[in-house]
Amino acid sequence: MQLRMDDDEFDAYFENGEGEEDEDEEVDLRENPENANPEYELEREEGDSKSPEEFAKFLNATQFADEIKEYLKTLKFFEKNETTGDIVPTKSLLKTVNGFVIYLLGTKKIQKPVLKSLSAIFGRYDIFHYISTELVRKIGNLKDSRVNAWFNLFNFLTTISHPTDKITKPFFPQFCIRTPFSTKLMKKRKMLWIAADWDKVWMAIMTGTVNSKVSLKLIPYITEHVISKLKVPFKSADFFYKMFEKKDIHAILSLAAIFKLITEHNFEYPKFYEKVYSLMRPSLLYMDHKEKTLTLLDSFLSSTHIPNYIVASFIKRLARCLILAPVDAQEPILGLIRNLLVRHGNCEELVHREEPKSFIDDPFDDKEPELHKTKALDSSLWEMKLLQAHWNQSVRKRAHFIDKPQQKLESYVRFRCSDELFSVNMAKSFGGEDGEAEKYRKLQDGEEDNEDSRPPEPKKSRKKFGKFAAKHEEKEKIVKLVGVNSEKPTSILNRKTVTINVDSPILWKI
Amino acid sequence: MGIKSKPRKVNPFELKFNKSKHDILGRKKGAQVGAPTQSRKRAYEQREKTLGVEYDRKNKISKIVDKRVGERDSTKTDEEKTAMRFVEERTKNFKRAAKYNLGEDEELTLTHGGKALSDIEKYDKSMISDSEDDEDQISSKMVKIAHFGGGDEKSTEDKVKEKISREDMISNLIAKTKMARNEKQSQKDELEMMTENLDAKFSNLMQKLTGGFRPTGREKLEKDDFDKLAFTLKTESDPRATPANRKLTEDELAQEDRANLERLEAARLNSLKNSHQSVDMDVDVNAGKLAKERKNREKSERFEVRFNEDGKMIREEDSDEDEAEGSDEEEEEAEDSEEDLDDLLEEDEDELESEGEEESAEKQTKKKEVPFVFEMPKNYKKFCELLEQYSDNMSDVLERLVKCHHPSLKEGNKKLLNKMFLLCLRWFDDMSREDLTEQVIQEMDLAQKTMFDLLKFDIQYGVRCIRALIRQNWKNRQEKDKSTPASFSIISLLRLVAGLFPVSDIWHPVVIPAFFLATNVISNAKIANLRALSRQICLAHTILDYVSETRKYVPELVSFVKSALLLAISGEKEFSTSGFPITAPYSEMLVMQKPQKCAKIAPISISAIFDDEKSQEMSEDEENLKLSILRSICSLTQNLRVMYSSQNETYNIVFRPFLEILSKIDLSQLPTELSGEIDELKCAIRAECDQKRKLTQLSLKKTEKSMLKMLEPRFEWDFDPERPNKGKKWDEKKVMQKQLKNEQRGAIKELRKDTAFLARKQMSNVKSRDLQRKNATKRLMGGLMQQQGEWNKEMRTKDVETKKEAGKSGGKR
Repeated sequence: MQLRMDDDEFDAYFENGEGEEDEDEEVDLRENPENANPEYELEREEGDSKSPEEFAKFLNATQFADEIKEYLKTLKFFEKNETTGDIVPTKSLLKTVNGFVIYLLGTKKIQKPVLKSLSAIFGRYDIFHYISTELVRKIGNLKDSRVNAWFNLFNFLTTISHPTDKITKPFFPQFCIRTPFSTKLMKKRKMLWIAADWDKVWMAIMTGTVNSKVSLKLIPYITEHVISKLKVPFKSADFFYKMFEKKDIHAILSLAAIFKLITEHNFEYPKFYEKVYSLMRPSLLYMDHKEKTLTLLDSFLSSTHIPNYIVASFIKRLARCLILAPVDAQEPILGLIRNLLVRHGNCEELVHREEPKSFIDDPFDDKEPELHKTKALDSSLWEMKLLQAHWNQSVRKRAHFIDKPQQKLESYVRFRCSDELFSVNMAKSFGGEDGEAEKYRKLQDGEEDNEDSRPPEPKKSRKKFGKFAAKHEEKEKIVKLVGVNSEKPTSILNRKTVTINVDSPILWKI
Repeated sequence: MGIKSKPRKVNPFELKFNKSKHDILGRKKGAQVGAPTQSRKRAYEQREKTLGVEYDRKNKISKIVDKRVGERDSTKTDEEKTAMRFVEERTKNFKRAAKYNLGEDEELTLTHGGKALSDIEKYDKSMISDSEDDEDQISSKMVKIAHFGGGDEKSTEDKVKEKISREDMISNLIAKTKMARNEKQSQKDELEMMTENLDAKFSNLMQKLTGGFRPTGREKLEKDDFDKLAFTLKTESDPRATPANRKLTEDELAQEDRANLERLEAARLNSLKNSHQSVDMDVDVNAGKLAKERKNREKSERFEVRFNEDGKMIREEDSDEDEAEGSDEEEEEAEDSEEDLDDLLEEDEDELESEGEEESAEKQTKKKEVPFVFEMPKNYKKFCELLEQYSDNMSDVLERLVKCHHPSLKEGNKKLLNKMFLLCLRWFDDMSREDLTEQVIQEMDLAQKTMFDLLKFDIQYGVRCIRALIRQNWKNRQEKDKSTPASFSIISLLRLVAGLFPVSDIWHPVVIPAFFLATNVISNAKIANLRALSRQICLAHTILDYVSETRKYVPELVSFVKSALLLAISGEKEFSTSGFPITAPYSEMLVMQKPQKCAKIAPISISAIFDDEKSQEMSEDEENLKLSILRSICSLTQNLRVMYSSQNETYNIVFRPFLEILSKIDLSQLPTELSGEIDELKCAIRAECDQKRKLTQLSLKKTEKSMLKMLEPRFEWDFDPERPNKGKKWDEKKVMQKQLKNEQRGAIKELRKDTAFLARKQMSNVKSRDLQRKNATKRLMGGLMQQQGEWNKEMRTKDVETKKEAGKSGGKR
């Protein structure tokens, strides 16, 4: 006890929170009166312990934190090395650690709540010290085909926080007093070695062959939570390069990480925009994760210091993509294009040119990978003219921005997936119903609509108050007549295209 | 008068001279000399006349007005005045007396009908004509002779004779006059008779005329066409003139239809009965069955015990109620939000299942005749049974169902028709999921037609139903089969929507969701094999139908066609849509391995591509299918090319890639027919592309800003810088202001003087009253003093006398 008190004083050096933790430890100690004698602890005979496989099975079977604790209480974790006198882990501890790792990287998928309760035991910094070394060893050999193992690993690691965020309670003091971590030296450098453990595991993952499904989740997590806490963030770049090679969404996600490295850690990455540019293809817009892609793209191009030719090329490329893009991508990209035009005033040339020149063919070269050779700045956004005939009304409206003077402010465009768009259209009121839903819808996205789809209305006469107010305002009822065909329908199969005079051969039969 | 005209002699001391110290040029000089006392006096007099009088009359209600003749005329002397008054008095008296003096009044003329009576008499006389005149003459002559006989050339004998026969003569005269009078009377009667007769005839005629004709005065105008026509219509029995039956309203038509059907039904039943009497075995059996069935139904209504989902026993009535409630709820829900079609459809699913058996027996004996009147089937099952029963005349059955339940006939019919719409839609949907045969397609057409007819009764409800079906399909695609290719039910639904609603509307509550569904399917489906591809192509054709009129741009369609075309070339490529296979054998699905020499390319069989079972058969002639698919893709491209040919700026951007892909297709492997088509397509696209290569950069169309209206400066040619404010208007204003000021000042002065005058007047009044009182007191006091003096004097004298007497007496004594 005397010794602990000294340590406490020393620990105050670290953080205020530390003191509280130690109090908890004391509480734990009081709960375990039989462990009171530290010398006895180290010298007592090592009891039976389960082999790693057995322990893994045990974990698989129980999964209750209390039961595991009961078992752990029966174990002896540390012993004194006969020759050096250091306190070293016993075999049973190593077996336990091994067993946990085997369980974690097993074939069964562990549910998240279970993992959480496990990490309350095994995620504590002192035992994680041993687990991490074991994990690093195993990850190197882990094949990418083992989806569940990767998922378990990923989920487990997400529960473990970096010491700068939160330091967990130590694990061993629950069971014994004298541990290698209770020495002064270890206490002093606690932060350092905990962080090193953490770093080690993540780096191991990044060098490993990650399953592609897991990596979809892994990349954003690393980007957001891990990179900035690594000791040497650049080291993660290799991983992202590797991911970039995978094309499509992986590439985009890893680009996000690289973008973060560039902006926050002074990472040098030549031709970053060329890479992004090469990814922008219509097929990208047909995949899932459209929203993610588009927000990332927006953030890549958010800087106002990007050269004009890059922005112009991107605008042009996006416009080309739009020609083949599905509905849900149309509006956000149109919004993005317009925002880019606002952000980079010089690119207004693409829409409004003072002295319009004539060309044979669009000067923009779609296939040119080098951004400064695309001649996008000489081109114009003719694509918008086509989109003004789009089948969806709101897209049509949006595409009309090229006919209006430049906007002063950027406007936020919400991404709506096709399901949302569908329900918006279903919610629109039609004949007879009162326009509550309609009003609600207008309120929902009214801002955008008002901004760009309609010309500024003449000022409305002010509403009159007091005795001049209109006595009973007529409730506006939106009645849209539902059109019905006037002619009788012909057969289901023989609906001929009327207006197009193409003599097509008979293509279908019953 | 003479006095006034004389120049008044002015007292020079009463004059006031205005002396000006400096003469200022341009300033008007006022009066040089004034007579203040005079003017003051004039003013005083004036006031006395106006204000003074008013002041005197203050607080007095009435006044005496002197109305004597000539009293105010100052020119008349008194004598003249009295003379005038006398004349006045006399005339007044005379008039009063003459009132009752009839003889001296002016002559009165009696009138009749505005005409003087004398004139009328004259007229009458002329009517009676000469006979009376003669008589008068005679009589007057007679009278003359009789009265004034003497002094004429007549002989004495005559005179004697006359004298003798005087009595005779008189009697003769009397007789003569009597005769004449008689004659006259008879004549008069005759005339009267005749006129009466004529009058009667005339009135008779008039009656006739007023009955039919316009007044005769108008007859001249009848040359007008309209008048002629109207006349002929009135008089002649023109068939045009007789009114036809009026045009029936929709309701009445419906009623008539229904009545017609009922009549026909009655006739049919009648004939059935008759034939029954003539021992027709078939019908007999049938009738017996019907009776049996009816019996059964009654039985089931009474005794049947059924179980609901919870296993509880329920009675028929309960379930009926439930159903009714259900339908109510359905309506409410439909109003609130469109629920799943499944809910709409399946709520009456498991009812009345027990009846199936009996009716299956009925099915076998197919009726040749179709009844004319139907009850609306209660649920989907019954509906199907009904249709199956009359499978030959389905269209008749449906038509009659609609006619029998026209909303104008009965209260709840609209609901029934709505239900029927729902049933039809479900029928349609179910059919679209079955094996495709000619029969199925026909039935779907029929359902479509019926729905079209029903839609006019309640558009809202129909729209809701179809929207619900679309939503259901959408949900299925979002959750379950996200990437399966289009099923025939979706395609037929889309075609149904296109059949019922105008696809060219800007926004339509049914068409736009359908569009979302279509684009979602075409862009997300995974194309694993040729069948899937051909399904998708079928869908693409449907989408094409949607936009063919409005020429709206559908990026999903274009990218699908582009990706599909890519399947026909080999080598590395990048698909624009995600559903296409990337790896080699599948990504070259449409590439021909060996030259095809097929003479004619068969159309794609819809029943084959949408049927899973038939897919095995198809694999045999896969090469043929490839060709027809390629051909249909080309047709799609062709359609797209024509449709978007109006897009001048972007035509190259869109169709250049198509051209590149088309030129990469290995034509040598294809039959001549198809390769010719592709060549044609290439040429057309190339020509169009070349034509539209010229592009002009976009520029903001600047709307001309309207200039501010600039006014030409207005010059005043006679502008005088020294008097910048000169000018007619300004001067006038100035003058007016000055006048106003002067007037104001004058008025104030006048008012002040008025008050002063009044005060003075009041003062003088007070003074005069005081003076009066003083005088009166003085007079009284004088009297009294005199009296006192006299009394004193008397007293003194008395004293003296008494003294004297006393002295006297004393002296005496």
